[in-house]
Amino acid sequence: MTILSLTLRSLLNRRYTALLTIVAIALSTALLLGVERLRVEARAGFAHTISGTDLVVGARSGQVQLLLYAIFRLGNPTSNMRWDSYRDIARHPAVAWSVPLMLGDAHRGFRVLGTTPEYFTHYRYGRGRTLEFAAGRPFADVFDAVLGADVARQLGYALGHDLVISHGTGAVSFVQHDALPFRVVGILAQTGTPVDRTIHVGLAGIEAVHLGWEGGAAPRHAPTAAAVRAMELTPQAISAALLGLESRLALFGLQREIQDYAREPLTAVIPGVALQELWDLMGVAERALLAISACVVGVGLLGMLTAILSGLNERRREMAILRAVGARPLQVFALLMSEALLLALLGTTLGVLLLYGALWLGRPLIEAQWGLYLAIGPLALREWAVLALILGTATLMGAVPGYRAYRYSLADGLTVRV
Amino acid sequence: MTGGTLPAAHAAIQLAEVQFRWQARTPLVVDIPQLAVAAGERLFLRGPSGSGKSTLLALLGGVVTPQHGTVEVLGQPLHRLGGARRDAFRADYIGYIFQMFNLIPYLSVLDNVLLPCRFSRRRAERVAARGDAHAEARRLLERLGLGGALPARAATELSVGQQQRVAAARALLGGPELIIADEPTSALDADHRAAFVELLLAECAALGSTLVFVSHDRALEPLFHRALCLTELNRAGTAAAQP
Repeated sequence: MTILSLTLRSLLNRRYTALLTIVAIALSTALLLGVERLRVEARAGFAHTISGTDLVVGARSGQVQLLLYAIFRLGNPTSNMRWDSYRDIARHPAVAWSVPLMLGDAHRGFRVLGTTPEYFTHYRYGRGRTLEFAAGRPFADVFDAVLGADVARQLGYALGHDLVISHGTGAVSFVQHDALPFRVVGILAQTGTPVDRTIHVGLAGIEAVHLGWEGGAAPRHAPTAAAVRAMELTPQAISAALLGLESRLALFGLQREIQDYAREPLTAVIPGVALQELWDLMGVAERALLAISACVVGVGLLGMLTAILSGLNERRREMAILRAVGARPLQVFALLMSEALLLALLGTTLGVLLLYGALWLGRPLIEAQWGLYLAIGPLALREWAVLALILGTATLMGAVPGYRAYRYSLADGLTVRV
Repeated sequence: MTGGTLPAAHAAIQLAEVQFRWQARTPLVVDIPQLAVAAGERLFLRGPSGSGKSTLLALLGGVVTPQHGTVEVLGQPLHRLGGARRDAFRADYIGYIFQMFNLIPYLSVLDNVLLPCRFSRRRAERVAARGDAHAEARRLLERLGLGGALPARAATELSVGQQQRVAAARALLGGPELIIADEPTSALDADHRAAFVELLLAECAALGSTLVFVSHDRALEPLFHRALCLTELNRAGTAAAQP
């Protein structure tokens, strides 16, 4: 108590240096914690690109590949799965709901996804958040389209806008299904997932634009919209399907069953597991960022060490005085040590406050921009560990001036050196 | 010239065959066959720099222990005590006044005076026995001519003469049995010098403390019970006293 109050007075006496040191530690701590939190949230956000879906099923391929085209709309399926197989699996007693996905076409570089209206109720992201409509409604008619938030913003489309789907997935296509334009009936709210960059239409719509294309060339006489609406448009095949189960207990059983499906080779992946695998592929940048932040904290603490050490020589007479009134060399050591610890403690505390301030201010911005929802919760165990590490390092560093002061006080005794 | 041979029980300081060197291969800086200071005695110790003065005070304060011989202060064999015990002993029984720079710059005058109470329970209790610690510190400061708003001021705002008086108040607080003053007047001008020493002597007399006062200034000698010359006392003589 004696030493701590002396430390406080001493620091107060050097308040500007102390304040600068504290601010340096605070900023670096806030940076490190911020990066750590963003990393965790980004990882969680990524892992929650899709949630609520228990299995993603497609033709036989690698699980990352299936995930890439089914969820991230990247690349193309090597082959499709048959509609019969899909119907068969969808009728399995363990399956609660299923949503078919059909990919392969695009509009000005944005992927067009053929699906069913159930997609809008069953597709979940984040911690079970459902898709919300910023405007309009789900598709109902064959030629209705629902745009992801990025699509609508970047192309400047509003409700009622007509768009033409091009064959293939390139940004510039010379083969346009321009006889049958789609009309925008809904625009989704920002999600921060690939849904934002997707144009959603009904399965029938995809079938309709391909009518007469079976040979691979444009049909000479494209059917009119009215004629198409009268047709029974059931696809022969789909790219993939999302499945929700009655009980997650059946998950591994059903996955095995689908992998061993007799009539056609299929792959079923558990999205969370595959997403984790995918994230680990990209983890290098994340770790580099964390390492840099840790270095910044190191620099902040070194600044503290410099500040304490540079003042040490001037304080030798202070130590002699303390020795004269009965301070033990260990107490002199503690005086310097507690100074480092106190600076670090105040610095990290301020850093945590800064972090929460920044989170509070930045959250709406980050959510609007990247759809990344930052929870402002208490510090996670890992974050406490980071703080403990910073304080531990500061204590170790404080031992350096502490030890020097200890040596001084033994060597100087009661001689006041100036 | 050596002091009288008082029995150890009545001696505040009793040194016998004390030899000290700072490092194994350096020459002896202190080699004192015998020194005794009676309880309540006010001793003037004269010694030029290099006479082993600082080292002798370090031995008396228990900051260092001799390689040879015995150092008994207030009946305690300091040469046999461990470091922590000696530190505690110094805190409890010895008041120390330096040549200059006596005060901790970040503490107020009052807190500087109260400093010994932070490190010594005995002195804190002795102060408390006379009433409130702050009041006692103020009383001492007042006696030394530092009343009014001065106690609340920062230590660094004071003149050198005032700082030395604050140091004296600190050394006297709680009435330690032994006061060691290491050239406390060398930074003062002649007028303040005499006034300071008279105040110090009066307070020591009031408290019954033993005083070891080191100075070059022979003009002060008559004010003390006894004067000793360190060069005569210390056989290690004129070798460099400091490492």
